[in-house]
Amino acid sequence: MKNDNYIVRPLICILLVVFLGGVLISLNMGKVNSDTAMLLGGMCLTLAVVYALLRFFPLGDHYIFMITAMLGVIGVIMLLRLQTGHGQKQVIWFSVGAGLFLVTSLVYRFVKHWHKLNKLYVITGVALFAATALFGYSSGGAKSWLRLGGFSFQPSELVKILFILTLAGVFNNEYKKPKEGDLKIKTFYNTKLGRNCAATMVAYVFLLFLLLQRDWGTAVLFFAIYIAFMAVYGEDKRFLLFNGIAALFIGIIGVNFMSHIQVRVETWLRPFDDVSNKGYQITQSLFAIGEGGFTGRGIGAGSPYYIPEVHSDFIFSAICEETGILGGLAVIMLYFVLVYRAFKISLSTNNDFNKAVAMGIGVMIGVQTFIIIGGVIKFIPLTGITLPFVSYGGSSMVATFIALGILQGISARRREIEDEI
Amino acid sequence: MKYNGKIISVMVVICAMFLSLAVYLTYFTLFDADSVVENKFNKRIREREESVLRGSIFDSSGEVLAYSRMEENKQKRYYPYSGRYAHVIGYNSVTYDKSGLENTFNDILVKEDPLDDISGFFDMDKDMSKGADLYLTIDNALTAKAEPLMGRKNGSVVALKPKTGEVLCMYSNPTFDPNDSALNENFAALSQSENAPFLGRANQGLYPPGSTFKIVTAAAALEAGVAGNILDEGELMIDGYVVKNYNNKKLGEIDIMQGFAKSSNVMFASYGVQVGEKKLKDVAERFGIGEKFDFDIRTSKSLFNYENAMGQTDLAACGIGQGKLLVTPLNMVLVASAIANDGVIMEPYIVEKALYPSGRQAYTAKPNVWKTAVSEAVASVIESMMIECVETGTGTGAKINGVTVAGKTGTAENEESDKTHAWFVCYAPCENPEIAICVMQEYAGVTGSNCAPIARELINYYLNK
Repeated sequence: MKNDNYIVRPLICILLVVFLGGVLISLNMGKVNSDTAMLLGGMCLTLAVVYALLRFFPLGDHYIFMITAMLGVIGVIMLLRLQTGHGQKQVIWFSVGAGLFLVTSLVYRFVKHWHKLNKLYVITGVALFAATALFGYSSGGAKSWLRLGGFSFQPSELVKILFILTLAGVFNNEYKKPKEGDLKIKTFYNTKLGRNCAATMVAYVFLLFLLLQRDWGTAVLFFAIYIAFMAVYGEDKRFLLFNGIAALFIGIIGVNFMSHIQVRVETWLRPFDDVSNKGYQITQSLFAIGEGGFTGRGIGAGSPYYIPEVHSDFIFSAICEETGILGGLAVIMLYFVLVYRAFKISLSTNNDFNKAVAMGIGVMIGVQTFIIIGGVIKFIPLTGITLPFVSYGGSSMVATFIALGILQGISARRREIEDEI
Repeated sequence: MKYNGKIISVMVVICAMFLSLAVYLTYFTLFDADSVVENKFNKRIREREESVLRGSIFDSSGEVLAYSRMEENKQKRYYPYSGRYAHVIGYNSVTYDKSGLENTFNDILVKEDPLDDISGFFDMDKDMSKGADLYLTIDNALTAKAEPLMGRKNGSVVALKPKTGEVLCMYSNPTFDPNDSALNENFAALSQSENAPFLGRANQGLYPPGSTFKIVTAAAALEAGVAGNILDEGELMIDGYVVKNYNNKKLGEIDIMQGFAKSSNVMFASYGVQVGEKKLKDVAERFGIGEKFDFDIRTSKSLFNYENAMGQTDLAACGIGQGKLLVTPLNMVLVASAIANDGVIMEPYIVEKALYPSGRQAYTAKPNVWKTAVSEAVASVIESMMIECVETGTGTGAKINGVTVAGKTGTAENEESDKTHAWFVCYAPCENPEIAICVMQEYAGVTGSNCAPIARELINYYLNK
């Protein structure tokens, strides 16, 4: 390594944010306790370990984890400020996630047959969703949680990744020449139309499960990923038309017949008509962002606790209240750079399957960020979905880290190939 | 490689999404945020207020009319005179929001001295900061006098200084206890009560002005040059509408002076018809009827409610203060003050100034001319008629030895009851007017009314203070 500045400078920035966040929480909230200090210390330790590994071993892209670390730190500071207990768990989840990130990147890199496991992905995805439909429980309006052992998790977070792998596989597996005695379906699968149909079928089965769970945010996210894949690999205008009509149809049904959706649209258009009831969430969020102005009220000096679900779906509003929209815009920029990184890796890798996977992950993080931030700032109707790495919650953190681990693996593989050349 | 182009297209779409987020967030903060945070459901407003000890409110002689105290780490607002200022100062309740001056002057009551803020920055142990105190033009002693005089009659007493517009007394009956515990307990009953105790009758009650409006009609008649003598036969038929004097009394051949003092409906109905719609409306407007004005608390606009052209009967009815004419007692005291102040109406105000705890001024009121109602000459003619009214006419109840009082009585028919509203507007002393008063009692009837004697008591008290 010729010059380490590109890795040291961002690291100093992150440590500065940790330090300032801790100081501000202590000053503004009188929370000068060993817990806070230890948690932030633990966070730094995790960062240090992962960095050291990235620095001294050829593990691929350095930026992905840097950006993620900054987002994670911002999330942990906000959570510590909101509720120490949540911050504590988040540090643990972050460390676990970071570990899985490294493990995933290595596993992904050294196991070479990911593109051949399509059937497994689909079966696992359907099984997870089916289990959720049967044994799951509701939280926040969506029946999307599954309890396993002592842990609760959202299967849809994992299925997201399986979905991306499936679509990447469907579109990039080689077309086999039809042989005598092949089943008709197999012959069909080995045509362009067959691949498009397969992708569409998988997408709509998953969508159906998500709509049954009433998890509209995630459903929109799945649909967006599917549309992105079709746009790049579908090469068939008929599917575009079909999906447009299907989306319109579902939308019209939702707006006209499902009170759940009606309320969302209504509170999006006229949030202040019913502040104390239907419009409560979104208006509390807007009050917080409005009060924050450009520079914010200071970490620990605002009143984000008026916002319902502030630690998960609405954490962006809390960030805006206390650090201003300058802080909010910084968070948006971080996601933007992260997504850009994913696309950059996608564009520079030579492996078609990996190219598709990297793009899928980029779309996933980009659209998810758009859905939740757009929702809480009332740019689009609000649907509950987590803000990756920042919102409180293990499933989201772990799943997104795994996705980034795959990205990391792809970037390292790319370097290997470059090294070989 | 063949898909790179399309992947870049997808990336561009995602970029556009991020950009739109950033643009919308900035747009919201620049253009929407300021109005959004003012929504009363924003709990941060109350939170901010709680961090500053709410300023006190004093009358013109420095008596405390409202103050806040810390009790168990919470602010509590006290109104030592209970209902006396419930419609002027209002209440400040967590549950029922704010009313009156507590509402309109809220920003000042919870405003920290900006200079104080800077010094506080260096002094972490500083006590809780305090908002600015309001100093009112209200005379607590005068209001204390008015309260029992009104007794149990619904109505209001408004008094002000004609030369400056300083409101000395503004009392509405029935009233309610604005202290928090009483308000929480009684709010439901109060808001359902037929007596409408939350209505500040002085500034929000709308009533037909009755004969007090003859001041306006007289001004119009004088200006139009139609204020000649008439033969009063006790009643007058206009387009099938019969205008009668009180008790059908025949006053015979009278001039405007006698007609005004004896409150001849026959005379003023025919004046109304003679001056015509345009003139009558114009003069009424100059007296502020139908005109909006800024006041320290929320005020109803008096109404001159004729959208279509007025017929002869409308003009006759208007001339004697009936018809579709509704005024606030505050507006009527301004009519009297116009005559007292040589035709000029000063803008009324209640808050004289606001001071930060350090003594620095946070707000100062300045006397302002609101309208010029009539010329000095017309004002002095009407003054002499109003003096005559108190000396020999219907307003003798307000006569005071040694003080020249100018006044006008009114009995207003209304749609809801056969009992008339009773009015009395006046000012004194005429040589150098110091106080103008409007006393108004709902459904008092002619005999039951004691508006003029109430005004007499108040003038007597105020001038001999």
